[in-house]
Amino acid sequence: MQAQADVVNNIAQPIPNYLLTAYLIYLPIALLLTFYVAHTLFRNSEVFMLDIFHGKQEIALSTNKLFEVGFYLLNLGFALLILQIDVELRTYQVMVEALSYKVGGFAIYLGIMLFLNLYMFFRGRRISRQHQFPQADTDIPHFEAPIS
Amino acid sequence: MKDRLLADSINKLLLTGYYLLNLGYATLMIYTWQHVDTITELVSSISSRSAWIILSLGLMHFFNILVIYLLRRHRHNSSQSKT
Repeated sequence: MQAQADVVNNIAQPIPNYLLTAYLIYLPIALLLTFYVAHTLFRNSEVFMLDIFHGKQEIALSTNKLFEVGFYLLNLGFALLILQIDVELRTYQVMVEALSYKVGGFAIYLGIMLFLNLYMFFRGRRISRQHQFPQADTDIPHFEAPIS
Repeated sequence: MKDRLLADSINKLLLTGYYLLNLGYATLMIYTWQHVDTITELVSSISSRSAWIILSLGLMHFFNILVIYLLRRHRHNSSQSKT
């Protein structure tokens, strides 16, 4: 009688849910992906920053660091925010589908952020060069003066 | 010298602001945290709570960078117009 009641209770209660497994797989993937992307992006962006700030190392590196921290904060926050899975994951198949949806979406978001950052670096470089050239133009008459 | 004093005091104000935000958020969370029954709920609620604070810190961080940039440009422009 007791065993029967237990069986009934077990059936009535939520059956095996792979939600925790999904979370524990998703979290390391998302966090490592963020760290990898941010690390790669901002190790290579030092060159751009040095170019943008005309070789002033201090301000270039500190700006780079500030943007890196912001990038980490935004992406880690977003990764944690979309962790919640509302579907009940009864089988491994459903779990893998839900996981791939989450991880894929997050990877696409990271890629968009990466290209946005790259675009901003190129734009900053172009603008800083535009600011540099007018000064060079005003210098030219100064150098040509002795010839004429 | 005056600039350095001003920068230091602004820095201190910003630091206090960040402390206040984080402590206030922590206290608020203690009041509004829902009942947690399982480890799954624990993981998801911790991650959503930290997600909001991390996201808001990130937005504040970029806002700060923007303000520093605007201040610098403003000063640059005004020093150019003076000369």
